[in-house]
Order: sequence, then structure tokens, then C-alpha cells
Amino acid sequence: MTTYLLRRLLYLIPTLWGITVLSWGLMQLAPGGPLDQMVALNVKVSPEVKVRLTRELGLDQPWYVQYGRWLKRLSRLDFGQSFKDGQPVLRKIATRLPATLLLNSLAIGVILLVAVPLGVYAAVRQGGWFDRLTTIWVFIGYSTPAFWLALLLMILLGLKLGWLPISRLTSLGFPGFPWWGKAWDLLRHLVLPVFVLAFTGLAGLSRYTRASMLEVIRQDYIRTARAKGLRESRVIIRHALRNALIPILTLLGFIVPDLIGGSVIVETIFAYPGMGRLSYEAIMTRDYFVVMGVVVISAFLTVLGNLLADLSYAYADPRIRYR
Amino acid sequence: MATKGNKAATSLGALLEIRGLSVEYRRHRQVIPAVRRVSLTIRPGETVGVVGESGCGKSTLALAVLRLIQETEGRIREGEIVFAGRSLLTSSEEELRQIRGKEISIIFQDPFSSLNPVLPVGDQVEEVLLEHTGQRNPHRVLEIFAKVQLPDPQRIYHAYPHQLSGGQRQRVMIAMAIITGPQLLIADEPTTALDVTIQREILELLFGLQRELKMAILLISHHVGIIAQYTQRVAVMYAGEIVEEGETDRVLQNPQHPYTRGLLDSLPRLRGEHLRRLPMIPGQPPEPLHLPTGCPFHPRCPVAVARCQTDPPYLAEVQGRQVSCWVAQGGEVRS
Repeated sequence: MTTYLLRRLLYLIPTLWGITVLSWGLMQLAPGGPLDQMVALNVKVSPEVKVRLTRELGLDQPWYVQYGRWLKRLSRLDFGQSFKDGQPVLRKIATRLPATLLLNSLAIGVILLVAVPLGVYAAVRQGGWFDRLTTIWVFIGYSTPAFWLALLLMILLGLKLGWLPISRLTSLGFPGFPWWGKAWDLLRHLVLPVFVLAFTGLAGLSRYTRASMLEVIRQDYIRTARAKGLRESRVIIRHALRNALIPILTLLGFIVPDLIGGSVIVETIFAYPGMGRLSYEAIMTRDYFVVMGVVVISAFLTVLGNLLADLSYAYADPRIRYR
Repeated sequence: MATKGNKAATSLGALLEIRGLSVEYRRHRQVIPAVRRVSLTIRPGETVGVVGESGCGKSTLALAVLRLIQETEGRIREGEIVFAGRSLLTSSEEELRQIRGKEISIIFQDPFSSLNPVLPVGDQVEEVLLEHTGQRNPHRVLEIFAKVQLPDPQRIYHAYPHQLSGGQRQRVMIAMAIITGPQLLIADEPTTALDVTIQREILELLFGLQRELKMAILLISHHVGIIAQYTQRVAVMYAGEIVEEGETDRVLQNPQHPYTRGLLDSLPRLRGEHLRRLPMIPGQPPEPLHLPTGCPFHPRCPVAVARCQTDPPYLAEVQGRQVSCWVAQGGEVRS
């Protein structure tokens, strides 16, 4: 087990390296650079100054030299500074990451709590009205673009009815609120983004749960469980669901990066102060080091999520023991 | 135990009585008859065999007795099943649950796929006690493990199915089936999935336990030798019907139905004539969706007459057992 873990951790190194090379290359292929916006918006910066800055910042070097320099600094855990405001990249990320983790863990939690029971019930009553209804509903959820749903909800619940705030994580007077006022304020701000993320993310998992349950329910050991005189609830939960959840664990490894990617759109629409909007802004302004910082950290979380999924797979299924 | 409306009478001295049972499966909107008008009686402590080729409906019969055919797959179309004075076809799901695993147990063919892969086997056996007595009792499980001759019961208790051999798994299945002391045990091909060397051990164990616990056994097998050795009465099934039924010795020593005769002829003999080519029954069993008219066996029957193609035969007594064959029943053939 320890050797397996060590081997898996070693494999992470080339994977992460590959991701950084690709992202760096892609970013360099995109037209423009970090200085363009600065220059375009500032009449005082003359072309001569731009050339000088470009040389000083090393932006005139070939991409692989720039990459090498970046990688060298990264090896000392130095992620560099933002071109925009000179802040260290790590600090920028540190201020944004908690909000994203909060949003995504809430969304994943809601998805799990809703999708798994939904899939189980649809499978148990396969072909019944509930199963048909969820099939239609899930199809709608699956094909609804997140930005469109977000805009509709903002218009209805935020503007027309005025029930929920439509942007940011906190209200203006937040620092002065008592703790329960803060909690209530956070909650109200989280409702819409969590709902949009969960609604569009539900479909896949509930379908997957349903398919997995249908597969398991046909197995001989379910017939044995019934033949033992067990209550149907026990047959379904203890014998069927336990087996059906095993393949779903692997799926969870894929949902984590999905939500990080998905939150770029949702965070941008809701002006949510998270990693998603940070990376969107950084990409738009070609803030290379910030983009790379976000890429490295997201990639690390993603591969870590996959590793954890694999490990829990081994934990849940006694037949699998990694060597 | 028997409550409202499911009291039913069995013939004198019968533990289980199946009367005119028909079961059909539904697949792709087609109705497939699997068991047709089967009647069978089992008395307390008795061993009754059901023998026939794969697909003849014998496993379906076993599942139907426990009402384990899922609504999505098929249904019992007609007939009656009476167990210890209760009609199982009118029993509620809750009443059936009290009977399953407690009064009637079943052992399936494949002990690997029949055990839950993610639960320790001790837990799976103990679960039966928990459900029917309301309490856990690990000591009782270890006792039963010793009784079914599992080595090192403590270790097996915590083992997962994949860590056990095929024979050990089937012993666990037997332990699970007998821990509540059922009156009837249904053994559906209990040794078919096992190595030949282990088959005998498992059968000896099973029938030793039967004598000790005084339970009736419904033994389902395609293996005529096993049926001959362990059962008192036998029903021969073909295409979902019982074609011959009676005392095992009488039926197997002097078969009256041409299908029973064919089954027996295709067995190798160890004494007497050596190196003979085993005779086979020509052709294949009919597909349930395209049953022949008349007697379902007539296309393969060596002695079929004109009437067999048109009139379905019925069970009638011939030489001290029930046979469903116009030719065996004699007289009618010439009329």
C-alpha cells in the first residue's frame, strides 16, 4: 500500500509538468501579452517604454527560456508576481481559494445528497412515473447552459422579486454584521451560484447512480438478500447501494475538476470572488504568472482528487488491493 | 403466523403443495412461458428431486415457490402454492418475508455471485438471524460455520467471499440457509458450479444436515446420478412441464416417458459394455416462444405417433407413477 502510494505520487510529477508545459505554450500562442492592456489604456506609456519594459521583464525571450525561468522560480515555490498590481501570485490565490472551495464543496454536497437518492429511487421503480419524470427533468438540467440559467434566476429572484442578492459573496456592510448576520448574508449570496452549479451538475451523477443501481439489482447476491427474508429497504441500501456506489467514487474524481472549470462561468456571472473569476481576469489581461499559478494549483487539486477517488475505491471494494 | 385470508388447505401430510402453477417471463414485450401447469407435493423431511435440461423451468419453479420472481421480469400466471397451511400466492410481502430465510431457505448454483462481494461472509450469515430474531449472535454463526465444516470459523467470519474457495463459499451459503432451522430447503443445482471432487463432500454435508435438522429438501439438478442417489421422489421436467413424476427408484429404473428414457440412456455406464457411443436425444429443447403443438417433446421423440402432434398429453398413472405421454398411457394410441 505504501509503495503504491509512493508510486502514484511520483507519477504526479510528470503529469503536472506536462500540464504546465501545455498551458504555458497555449498562453504564449494567444495573441497579445501582459503589457498590451497597460499600454493601450495609458497614453503616457510610449512605444519606447514598452520595448524597455518588455526587455526588463524578459518577455522578449523565446517561450522556452521564459518557461525555464518560471519553472526555476517555481521549484523554490515562488509563483511570481502579478503583472497587473505587483502582488505575489500566491497571495492573490490565497485570498480567492477559500470562496471557491466553499462554493464547490457546497455544490458537490448538494449534488450528492440529491442525485444519489434520486438515482436509487428511479432505479428501484424503473419505468414508473417517478423514473420517467426524473429522466425528463434530468435531461433539462443536463442541457441547460449554466450562464443562461444563472441570468434567468438573477432576473427573476434577484431583480423582479428582490429575494436574493445577485452578485458577490457578501453585502456592503458585511464587516460590521454580528456573526449570525454574517452567516445569513453568506448563505443568501450562496443560494443562486450553488443552485446553478448543482442543477446543471446533478444530471450526470443521478443517471450514473441509476444505471449503476440497475446493474447491481440484477445480481445474484441481491436475489440472495431477498431470499434471506431481508426488508426491501435493507436489500436496497445495504446490499445494492453499497455496491452501486463503488463505480460512482471514481466519477467523483472527475466531478471535482468539472466544478472548478464550471465555476469560471458561474463565478464570473455572479461576480463571485473565487478562483474561477481570478483565472478569467488573468487570462483576459494575459497576466501570465497568475494564470500559471491558477493552473498549477487547479491541476494539483485535480490529480489529488483523482488519487483520493482511487484510494477510496480500494477502501470500498475489498476485492481491490493495490500493490 | 398465518393471518387474514391466506389460510389454505394442503393435502394430508403435505408440507408444500404446488398446484397447476404457471409462470411466465416478459422480455421485449413478449410473454415467455417458463413453467406450465406444474403440480408437486413435498412432505415434511422428504427429499424431492426435479431433473431436466437447462432452460426447462426448474430454477424458475424454485424462485416461484419463494415468490422471488421480480415484477419487472415476470409473474405467476395461475396456480396455487400452499406451504404449511398458508397460501403463498395470497400472502403479503411482509408475510412472505417472515417465511423466506426462516421457514423456506434456498441455496443457489453459483456461490460466488450469490454472496455480496463487499460484505464479510460472517456478517451476511448473521444478517439472517438479525432479521428474523431481532438480535446479532456471532457465537451462533461460528457454531453453524463449524457445523458446515468450515475450517477456522473465526477467520472465515471476517473473510470476504473472494478470499474463500468455491467449496467454502457454498458451505457459507448452506450455513446461511440452515441457521434458522427451516422446514424446507430448496437446493438449486447446489454443486454444479463446483469441482467434481468437492461436489460429493457438499452433497454429503447437505444430506447429513437434513437428517439432523429433519428438513425437507427440494433438490433441483440436471444430474440424474445425484437425483438417483439422494431423492425419494423425482419430477422430470421438459419445456416447463412435468412429464414424469413418481418414486425415484421406480422412475429411474423403469422410465415410462421417452424423454426420461433418453436422459438415462445418455448417461455413461461404468460397468458392463465398454466403449460404446453414448446415445443422444436428437435435436434441441424447444424455445419457449415456439412450443410445438401437441406434446412438446414430439419433434425429438423416437416413438411419437400422429396424435402426439396435435393433442397435448396430460399426466396419468402408468405403472405406479404419473406420466404425460400418449404412447406410455397405451390404449389411446390406437383409438
